[in-house]
Amino acid sequence: MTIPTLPGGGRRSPFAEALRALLDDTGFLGRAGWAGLLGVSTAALSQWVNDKTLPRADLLRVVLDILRSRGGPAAEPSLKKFDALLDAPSTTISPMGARMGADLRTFTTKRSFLDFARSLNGLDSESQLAALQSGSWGREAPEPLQLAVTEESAWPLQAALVRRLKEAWSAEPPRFEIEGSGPQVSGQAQWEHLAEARRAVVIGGPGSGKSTTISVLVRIAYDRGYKPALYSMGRGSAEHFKSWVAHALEKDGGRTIFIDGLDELPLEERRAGVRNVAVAADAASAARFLLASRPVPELDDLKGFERISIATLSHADLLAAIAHAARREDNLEPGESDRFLTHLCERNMLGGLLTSWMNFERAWKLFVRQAITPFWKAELLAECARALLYRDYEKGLSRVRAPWAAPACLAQLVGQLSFKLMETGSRDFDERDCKAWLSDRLPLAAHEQLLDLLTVKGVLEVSSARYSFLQEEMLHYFAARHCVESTADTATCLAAWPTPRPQLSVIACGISSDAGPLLRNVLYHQPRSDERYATLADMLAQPLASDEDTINECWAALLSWLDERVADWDVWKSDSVPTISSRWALLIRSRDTEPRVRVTAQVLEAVHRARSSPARDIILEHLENATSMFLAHFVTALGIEGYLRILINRGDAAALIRVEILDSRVEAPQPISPLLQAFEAPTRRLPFNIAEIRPRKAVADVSAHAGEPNRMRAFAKGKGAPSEPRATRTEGRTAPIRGPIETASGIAQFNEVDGRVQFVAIGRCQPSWLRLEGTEVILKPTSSPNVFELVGFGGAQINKLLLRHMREPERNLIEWG
Amino acid sequence: MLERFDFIIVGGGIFGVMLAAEAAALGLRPLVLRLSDRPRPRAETVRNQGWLQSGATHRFRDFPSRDAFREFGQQAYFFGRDTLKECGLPTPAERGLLITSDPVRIAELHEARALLRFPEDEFRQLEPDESQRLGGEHWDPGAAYFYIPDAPFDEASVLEYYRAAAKSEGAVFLNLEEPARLSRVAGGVRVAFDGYRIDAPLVVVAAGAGSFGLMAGYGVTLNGSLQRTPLRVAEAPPSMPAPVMVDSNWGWSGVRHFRAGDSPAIVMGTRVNCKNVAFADAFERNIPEAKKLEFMSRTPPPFDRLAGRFTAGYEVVPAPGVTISRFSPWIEAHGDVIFGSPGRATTAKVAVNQALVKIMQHRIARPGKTTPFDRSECREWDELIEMHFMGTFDFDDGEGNS
Repeated sequence: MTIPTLPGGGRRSPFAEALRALLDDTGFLGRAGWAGLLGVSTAALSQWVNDKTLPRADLLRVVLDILRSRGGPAAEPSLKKFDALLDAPSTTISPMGARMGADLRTFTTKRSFLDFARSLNGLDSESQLAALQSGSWGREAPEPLQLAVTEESAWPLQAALVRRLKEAWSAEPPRFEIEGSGPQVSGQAQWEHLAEARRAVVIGGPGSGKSTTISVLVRIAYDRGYKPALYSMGRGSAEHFKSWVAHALEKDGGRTIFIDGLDELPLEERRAGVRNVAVAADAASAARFLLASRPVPELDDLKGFERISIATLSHADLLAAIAHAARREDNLEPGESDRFLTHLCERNMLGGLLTSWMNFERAWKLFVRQAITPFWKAELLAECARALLYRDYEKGLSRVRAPWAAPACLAQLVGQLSFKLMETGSRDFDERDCKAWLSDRLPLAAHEQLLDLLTVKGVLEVSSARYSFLQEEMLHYFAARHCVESTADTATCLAAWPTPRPQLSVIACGISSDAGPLLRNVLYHQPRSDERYATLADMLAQPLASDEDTINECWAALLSWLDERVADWDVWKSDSVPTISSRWALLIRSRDTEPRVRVTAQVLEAVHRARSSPARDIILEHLENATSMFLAHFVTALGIEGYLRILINRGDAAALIRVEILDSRVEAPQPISPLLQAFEAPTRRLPFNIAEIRPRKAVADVSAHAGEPNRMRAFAKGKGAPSEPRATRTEGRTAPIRGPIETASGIAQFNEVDGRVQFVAIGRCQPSWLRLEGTEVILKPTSSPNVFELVGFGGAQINKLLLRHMREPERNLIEWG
Repeated sequence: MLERFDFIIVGGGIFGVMLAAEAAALGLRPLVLRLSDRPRPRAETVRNQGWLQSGATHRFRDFPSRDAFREFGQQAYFFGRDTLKECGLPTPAERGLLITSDPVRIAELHEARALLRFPEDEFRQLEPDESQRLGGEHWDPGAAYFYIPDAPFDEASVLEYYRAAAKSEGAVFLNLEEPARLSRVAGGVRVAFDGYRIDAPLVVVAAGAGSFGLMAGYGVTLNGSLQRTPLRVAEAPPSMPAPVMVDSNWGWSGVRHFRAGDSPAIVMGTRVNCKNVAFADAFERNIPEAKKLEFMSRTPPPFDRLAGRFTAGYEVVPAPGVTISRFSPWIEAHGDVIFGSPGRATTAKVAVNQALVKIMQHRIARPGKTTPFDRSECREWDELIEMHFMGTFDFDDGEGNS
């Protein structure tokens, strides 16, 4: 970066000189005193005042705070000198001005401790250490920010906006929906429409990209010579806006005024803010006004403004966004994004939630950083809820200055509200209900404010004075959280409701630190019905915290019900079925009614989802002992990564069950992408006539199943046998794990080292397969030729299983061959 | 799935969480292990008086010099308030009240005011009529009343903010069922917890009361002690004249806090039964009956009549000379372990910066090492953080009040 010529040709830049005056001329502390207080060396201070480095913003703020509140008259001249620089473009006051953002005021008012650390991210350790020790940035500035900032704009673009401009929508710009009867335009034409609009307000929920849209429009306006001026309401006030806009339009009445975050004003100021905008727009007919706001009722007061909403992500957008995000992440393994996509499809309930940019980005970030897929539904819901409640807080906004409006308190209030709403069984409520439900928690006068706040925050939506939750998932999540955190006993509380609320139980299960009572309640205390098993399956198919016995019992009950339910299913082999993009497929015909097959399908989907969970081993163990022919086939599906899709025929109860491959690497959204289909209700006719397919003749080798009474009974009923034997390998031998395993070529043994089990081969011994409780153990070579690591369906589980077998003499056996 | 972590922080108090946020923003990936609050609350960070200190109530005798007193006071005041700004929390405008009849203490307070350069509206001795009006029926005509810039603050919200920031930058927080243990191994430290044993290139011990035991496991004896202080939580009387009250005649202090959906609480402390203990035990919060009576006798009316419960907090106290004062941040590096205690919550920012310097020095000396760990079976720390006076601990608190 080139250092600008400094006015006066002085030795120090204006900023460094003003800072030196603060430190030395106020007589408040000596250099050593300042250094001690700020926790840096005196050498660091010397670097600051000689333009070698730029002080960290929070340290500079502490210096200013101290002198302003304690400095007295002696500090006034120096503070005045400093204040004179506050609004000057930063690059003109310091050679490292680009680090400050637009100007010194922005630099000293933003939250900075974390920002400082973020800006050091990516530097080598030595540079980071040097910066931490001196409390400052070095000479190397980031690339200068070249943005449309006019000298009159007192509230220029924030650095955060600039960053987002670079990152967001570099591939996919947002789409808009224009209200009214005018012609609907799409794509680039939408941007053109917006860029040339004279009076428009861009409306969108939290995190939908309003500020980014505005900053892109500022850029376009600047390029086209429209002289943009931007005002951020969150950082200003309704009153200040009046003088600002008058000043901005004083010299040139034809400018384009951009106003960001109209909703970010405190609630009581909002009406005045909107009025001031309307008045300014009326007075300056030549000027263009473009606004961004969350949907707030006061917007109705803006007459003559075109309303343009930011559209939620469509399924095609989502697919494109995942493909785009996956390309950007270079540390993802090939096919990793498909895993995200697969789990997203399996969680249809999350579909609506993730159509907001903010939520989608949170989910993707969690996946990239912590490998959390949508399978961890409760985790994602928690993140999205946190984002909703904490977003203002993180942006430093205060819409309501009251203790109950702190995010943590608000979470409790929303919890109680949603719980009561679910208790009534209604979908919406009015202010009177809210008063009655929260009477013990909230001052009476605050209810209106609360509802308004929650609407602005994007938790609630309002229509004809009735409030409802914008996202149903959030309603369930908050209610579940209230159940888990605020009631004495979640299971009893839920059981007391006249009609069961399965979604609530499922989420409560996911967030509870002990899901055992909830599971047992469904298993033992609810009437035996198909719905009960469907609920139980959904509860189990997620990460759970519960004792092993309960989980085992529940899976056993569920799978034995399933076994019974599918006992009469006729199965056609996959090779008779046309398969498109699927890795495994079966066609079944049942004697059950179609609704019953649907419930069974729901349970099957849940079981398939649970293949990613620690319960996998338990499921496999139970499925191994299942008697129905269908489940014997279905075991294979659990070993295949893909989305289980069940197409049920209308009329005769037949279904095509297949595991589909989802590929996020498609360049453009396909008209009928798997994702699109997955989000649609799969109520369609099978793509072929079932009568055309003839069942493959079952090989009824009864003698092979002589030891299995259930299977014999199945034969007796004429249901035939699976078309291929279940165990494909020969029967092996059993050996104790503790002792040596002897083969013709040598001896091998399991060893426990540091809590991990290793397989050590002496000689050239290597069994061709090992099996433990029906689970295959794979020997993975290590750097040492004789030592093998043990892996299976997740290394940790195998290790745990082996350890258990080694320690319990009655289980101390392994099968091998 | 195996994930790689750059270092491990043991402890999820204000220091551990803030450090995790800062380190994660720097591009490092910390794994934070934190002792679960269930079934019994064990986090010390939320069991204090929630007091935003200004340095005004400290005594000169606790500092080696007037300069050290001034430096600490200004750090506590300005960095504390800056932390609130960082979290988007409002800076409290309320004033506390300090009551004393001791002429030496009064002189000291006037000197402290001059040293810390408090303006008149933040710190002043009240005129007798003003103090009489404020004190009401309990006014002590012989005592001097001071307005001090001390106020309550919501430490839980600060923790929530930094935890969210750390998580968004990739830090991972786990809830442990049992306390972690450290041991020395070749090329790093072994951390054992809940049946796992992981070897880390670097561990930061930020476990407050648990730090002594952890460091002992690594073979380091910290030069300091652990002090247990009884506290009493009750419903604040409406007549309480200020949100923070320090009565040095009685040897008593009280801080008032807002409780969501409930009347305000007061958290009171005295010097009764403050003692050094070997280790923090949740059951040790149970105060003997005789001591409870003594505690109440040191509480001025009407605070001695309030219904409430007793509890206790633990404080890490460095030996004299180890740090500038017993309240200052205490950061020490021992091989691959860094020990840290923020001193006061308001100086946590200063402590975090010092700790980050130590972490970077360690990384430069031993670069490129990470810890692989599969946390799929661990429980993440994501429950709401609440102060212990918020009326949420509806289970046995180890206080004899179940």
